[in-house]
Amino acid sequence: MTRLKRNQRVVKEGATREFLDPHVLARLSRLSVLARGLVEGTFSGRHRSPHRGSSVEFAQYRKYVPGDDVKTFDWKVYAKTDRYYVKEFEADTNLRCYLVLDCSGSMLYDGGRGNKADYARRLAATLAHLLVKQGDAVGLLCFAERVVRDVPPRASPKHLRNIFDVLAEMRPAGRTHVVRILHDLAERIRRRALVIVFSDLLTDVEPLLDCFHHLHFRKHDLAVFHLMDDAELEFRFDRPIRFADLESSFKLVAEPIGVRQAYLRSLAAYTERLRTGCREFRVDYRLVRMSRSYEDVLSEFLLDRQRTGVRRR
Amino acid sequence: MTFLQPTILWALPLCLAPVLIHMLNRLRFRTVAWGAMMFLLQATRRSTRLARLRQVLVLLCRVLAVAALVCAFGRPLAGGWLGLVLGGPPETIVLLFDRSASMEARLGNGSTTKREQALASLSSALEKLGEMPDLVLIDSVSGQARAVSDAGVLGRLLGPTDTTADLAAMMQAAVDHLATAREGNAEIWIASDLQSSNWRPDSALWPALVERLRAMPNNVTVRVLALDREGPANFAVALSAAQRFRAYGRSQLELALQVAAGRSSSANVPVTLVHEDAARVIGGSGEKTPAAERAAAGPDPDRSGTVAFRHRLSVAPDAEGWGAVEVPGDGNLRDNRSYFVYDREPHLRVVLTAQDPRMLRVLEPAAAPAPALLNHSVQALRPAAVRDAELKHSALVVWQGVFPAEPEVVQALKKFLGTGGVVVFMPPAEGESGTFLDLRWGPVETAPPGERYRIAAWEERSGLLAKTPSGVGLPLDELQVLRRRCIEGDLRQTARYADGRCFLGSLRHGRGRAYFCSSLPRQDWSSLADGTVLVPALQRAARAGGTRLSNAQRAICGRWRPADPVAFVEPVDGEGAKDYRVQAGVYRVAGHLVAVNRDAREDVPDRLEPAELQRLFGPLPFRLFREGLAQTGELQSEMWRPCLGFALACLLLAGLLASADVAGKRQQTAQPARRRRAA
Repeated sequence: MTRLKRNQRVVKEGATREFLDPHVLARLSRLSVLARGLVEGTFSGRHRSPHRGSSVEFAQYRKYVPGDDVKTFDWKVYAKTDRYYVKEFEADTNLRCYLVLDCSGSMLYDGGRGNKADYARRLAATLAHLLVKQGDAVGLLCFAERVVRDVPPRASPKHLRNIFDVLAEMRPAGRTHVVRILHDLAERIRRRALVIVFSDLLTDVEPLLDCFHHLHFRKHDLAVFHLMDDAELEFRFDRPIRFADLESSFKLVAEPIGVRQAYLRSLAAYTERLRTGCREFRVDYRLVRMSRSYEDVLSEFLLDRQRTGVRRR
Repeated sequence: MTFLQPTILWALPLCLAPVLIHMLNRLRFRTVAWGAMMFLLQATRRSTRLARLRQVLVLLCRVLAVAALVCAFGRPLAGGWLGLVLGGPPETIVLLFDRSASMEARLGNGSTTKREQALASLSSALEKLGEMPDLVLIDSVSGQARAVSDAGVLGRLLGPTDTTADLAAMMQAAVDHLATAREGNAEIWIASDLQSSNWRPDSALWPALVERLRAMPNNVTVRVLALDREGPANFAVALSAAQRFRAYGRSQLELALQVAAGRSSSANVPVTLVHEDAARVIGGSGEKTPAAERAAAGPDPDRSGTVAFRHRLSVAPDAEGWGAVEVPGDGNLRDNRSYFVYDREPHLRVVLTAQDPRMLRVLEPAAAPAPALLNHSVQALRPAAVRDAELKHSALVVWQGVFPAEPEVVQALKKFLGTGGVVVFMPPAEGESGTFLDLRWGPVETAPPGERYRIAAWEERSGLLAKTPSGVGLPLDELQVLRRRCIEGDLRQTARYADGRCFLGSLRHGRGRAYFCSSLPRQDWSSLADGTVLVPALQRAARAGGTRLSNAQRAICGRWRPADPVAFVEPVDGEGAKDYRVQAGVYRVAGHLVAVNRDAREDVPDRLEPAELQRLFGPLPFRLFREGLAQTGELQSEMWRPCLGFALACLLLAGLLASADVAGKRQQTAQPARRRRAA
């Protein structure tokens, strides 16, 4: 299948989904989803591979060891130094991306601009579309207390339809156990990949950072979209309210005026620790306010990656 | 605690209304589905405790406020100044009731006496107690504690009297009773007009009694129902003396009386003499009549309206009888009449003893200047010869010289004094003094040449040196005293020198009185021998001593008892049946007359101030009620005011807690806004 035909099929798939805006897709299609580090794909692609391969892009010199291909000798260096060095070149490959989507009950919070689950759906769907369109493999993992749906990464348009189907059927419910899910994922993924998490991360920060560390240790490129509604970030309530937990039957009556400062302090401490930890483990952390359009969020994400990633030759 | 309106207490469940309102409010809260519960829980963990505590306190204050309001409307009565803490009426009430003559004064509107008002208030308060505690009555007449089973009998037990009261002694009886009473709270209720002479606030008994009460296991509270407010205008008449004597050959009876006006009295009232079934006005409180004399006011310049009278009337030498002086009925009917009795004219025998025989030449004519006219006689005795038998029928003893040393003589003189006799002592010219009644003569003092000891002040209203009935004073200021030997010891000064030393002093012993003159009727000592002072003084002394020879007696109501306890005491004043123990009047007992009058101290209007009363009871729980409150029967004090105050305080506290909470929250929301503006 030619590239054009494949893209046409991808576009056709996206046009029929409510969480995909063709105009947004059109505007973002000029941008590529790049991995920040080295990834291990199965095919040639636009992403850097940790392995050395035949490519036009020079990587480095290495001393000759018996068995190396004589064609790789750099005779100029030999002429200068009277020693044998071989040239190594960068090898390009395709990207394997895992979209990890939080389907717990807290993602149903709606502050008036739509709930976080829908927002995450849009982000995930748009990224999946872009990735498949550029020939990368994308998989989807939906979780709550446990894995709800697991779609392994594929690069075909037909696979994209599967992903969209799963996204459309996803119904957030239950508690969040993101820590265990991410640890399992880190163990499961053998090759380096791009892992993008869409969640409100409403769990203890230290265990969460351990997950990020685990994924980082496994040399995966981790991006985290921390989804929070404006109301959750600012807590602007004025009257006593009975807060009903979306993930359980727990209810709490509180006077927001009296607890707002303490709430904001807790939230600030949490996000600051998260930022610090993500910076430490080179996690691409992004706090996403629901009031911001997902297109802006994605374009910023893609542009940042392009600035820091390896340009395609 | 008891309530005057107990049915109101059915509304007590209303105090749960704030709780119900709070719960209903909570049901109206908007429910918001929330995802970031972890941050909310962290935030509320710290503030929830404080907020819950504040909420609980506000609710508690509101509940207590409603409960206190309901209680206030129920008009609770308390048995102590912390009625809620004591939890009800006391187990024992000791009632001290002042039945003195001053309690018969009428109150402001003139229709009820203080005693009647006190009875009404106490009966009402006791009825409202509901369950009757142990009630013990100590009235001022009996002074003994007796149990009373029913408050209704108080009116019968506490009738009017002409007696005086001793609150200190009554309190003593109360304390003695409480020491044996059952355990539990006790109260001492005192109904009195706070007359100082009845309370004797300077008595050393009070501090000791207060200490005993404090040390008791019972919680003792003292409540005083004070009926001390001034009533209608009141005049009181009191006879201080009624002496038979002979003057100018005629047998006469001299009455010394006082008319005291209350502080609010300024009118002039007539004084009427009732004698031999006839009544005639003999003077007025503000008038001067030929037969009456107007004396100076009392020693307290602030006490206006006290007028002293002396009136003489002729009576047959061998007559006995009685009479009364009275003023018109006014604010207190018990002090408008005073009685006197008289016996046959006594023969006044004067016994003279002189260490210096030359004294007798002066003293004999001075003691009996006109024996035939004055019915006096004189007998001179050696000091050692003075015995009971010699003094039995004597009126006066004049003793010049060293005080007697022989025990028989001392005993005879003391007995003579004890039975009403009068002894005038004059000093020895030289040598030892001796002692008598803990008194002794000082050293002989001689005035510098050309000078004399001048007498500066003396009692002129009554006594040996008083003015004559015509108002002429004795010329003591003209007396020449060249030598003196002043008496040393504790006695009352009747006259003093300019340097403050005593010229003439007196000491009461029993019913009689001993006088001590510091000079001698000798040329080298003084001019007493000229008689201008010595003669009237000795005449008056004889007259005073002569009252012991009369069968007619004067007694103070409440203190007199016949010598024979079983003797029949008959009222003869024509005022019907009377009880001599509590009612003034004229009585005949064992053939002689007795004039029983109220104590003159009952006419003194001095009252204790509330501050003095508080000082008297010291740290004991003490409450004072004026008769204004007593009219509404509130001796058992109502607690609705404290309940109302408590309710207001609870509401105020609830408001403060709630507003502090809101202010704190508003400050919390304002601070971020200020920071954002600053940024």
